[in-house]
Amino acid sequence: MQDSRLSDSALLPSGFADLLRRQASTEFTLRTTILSRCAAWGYALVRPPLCEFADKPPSPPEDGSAEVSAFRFLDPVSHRILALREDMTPQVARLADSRLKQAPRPLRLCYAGEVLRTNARQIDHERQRLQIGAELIGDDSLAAQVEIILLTSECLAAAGVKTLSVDLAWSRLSHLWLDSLSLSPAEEANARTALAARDEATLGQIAKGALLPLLQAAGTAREVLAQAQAAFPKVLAEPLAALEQLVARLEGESDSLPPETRLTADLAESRDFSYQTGPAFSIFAPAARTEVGRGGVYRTAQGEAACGFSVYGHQLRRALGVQDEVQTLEANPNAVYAAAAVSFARCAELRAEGWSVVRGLDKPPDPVAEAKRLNCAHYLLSDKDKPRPL
Amino acid sequence: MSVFLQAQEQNRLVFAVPRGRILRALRPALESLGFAPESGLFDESDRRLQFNSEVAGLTFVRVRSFDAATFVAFGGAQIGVAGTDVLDEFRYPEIYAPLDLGLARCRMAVAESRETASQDDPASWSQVRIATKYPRLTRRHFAARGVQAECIPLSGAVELAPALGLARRIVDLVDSGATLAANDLVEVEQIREVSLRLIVNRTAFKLRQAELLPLIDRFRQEFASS
Repeated sequence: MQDSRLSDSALLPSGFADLLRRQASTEFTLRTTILSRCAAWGYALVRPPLCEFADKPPSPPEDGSAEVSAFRFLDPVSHRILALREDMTPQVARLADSRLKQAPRPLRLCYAGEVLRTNARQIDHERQRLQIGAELIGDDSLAAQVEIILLTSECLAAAGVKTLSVDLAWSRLSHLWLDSLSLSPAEEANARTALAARDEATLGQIAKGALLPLLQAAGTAREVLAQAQAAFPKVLAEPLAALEQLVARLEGESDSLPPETRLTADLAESRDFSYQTGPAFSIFAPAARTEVGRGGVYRTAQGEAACGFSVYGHQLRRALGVQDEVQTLEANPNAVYAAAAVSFARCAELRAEGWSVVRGLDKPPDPVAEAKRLNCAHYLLSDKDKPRPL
Repeated sequence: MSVFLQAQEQNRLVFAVPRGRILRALRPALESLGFAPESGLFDESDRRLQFNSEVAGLTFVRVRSFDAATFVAFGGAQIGVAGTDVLDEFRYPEIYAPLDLGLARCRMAVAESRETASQDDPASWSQVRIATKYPRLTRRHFAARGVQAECIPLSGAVELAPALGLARRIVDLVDSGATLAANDLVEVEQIREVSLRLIVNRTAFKLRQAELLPLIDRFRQEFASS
């Protein structure tokens, strides 16, 4: 029979997990590594709060999914509705719009923190996520876009994701095209659903299949753009030209991208770009076959131009092979077990050399076995000793 | 490195096909398109689950129809076949469904016993109890017309539910209507048309286009007319 007291205290709500050992230390390292890269590029750290007022009902997403994804509750102090943050980007944009309104532009800000969402997508079932990112506010020029993409790939490379595939898109491209077709609202909704699912069958029946070239526009960035120039209507000429410039600039900067970075484009893509307006990108880790970052150009609530990126801890852990379910119990190669006879001063010396020193609290009969039991790869018996491998 | 990652790193493509009725409908196409999967794929008494094919690096897996979509959504399989019934039930955002294969066409419908139907006015419903394999799709369908559906999830023999008093009504696939008739049920409302789709995992589509596009093209040529 199972101990019901244990399951009561150990069971967590779905989408929430205890991160142990490697998982927790990986998230910590990701946070410090990525933020220090952002700092090196001149991005200043901000820490917006966990919750904000949310009296106004959230506007439903345009795709009609009508899902509200923030946890909401009543503030016992103000009696107003609060929402726990589900995304830090709008918070940073709000900061730029309010408290940092007078700060010189372009404003470079970075952040890292936990976000919570009620509706986890099936494949990303985590409801608590570590979000790390940077925003460049007051500029959405080509130079700013290139800076953000290069910064994102540098951060990912520093985090250990060495090969990247950068997938470019234009967040409202299909909307522009749809608007020019003057479809009925029902047809337009169908067209959007069909585009999201790359559903040729349904899209072929809307406006005599006019939108079908959008679905073909996926692949190597250069080829996609060349094809699109010929097949897309005139209303889209401007976005296509802008994307072409972005590709040319990125190709020119290929020395600053990790080696073998692939540049692809998918002009039908609009997922995860709900607030972006214009060029947007997703970054995939080919080795782990997973998405690891996204970003693009957007407007703050006050209408200021901005661009930025974010990455999530759970996706990066997946890309780095630090799986949620697998608990590693291998000995820590950097850890040394110091027997109780070793002085605190000697332990401090070793720590200064970079060792992780686990000092014995009592005198076990076999210090070597004790080192092994505590997952240390080395041991040390006295002050005169050096760490010895097991 | 974990076993999970090793499996992912193998450079093969996995094609998920639903077993049973759908696989029988799909067989001629899979054979005429030159994939030539091992014949065991079509032999349900063959207990293996993975089958090689003539196309280098392409493996077929035979799974339950609901699972074909799940394997593709989570990237266990990169490409597959699933009915629009299953796709609509799960609405996995990770799945692209480019082609309508036009096979195994049928419809999703609400049915109830002949006796209930004779006195029932579907327009007056405010809350209904429904036995179904598709609880999410059912709830969404009824919510859209202002009716709250309480679903009793079953994974088969749904037509038994009204006779045994589980629920007055069912939501299920209807092909010829013979199963409904044999259980003294009548169709009272059609929810959607159903047919088979070729499906592709979103991340695989981005990263392995060079391998996937030729496969999709083979299907496109075969099914362009349908």
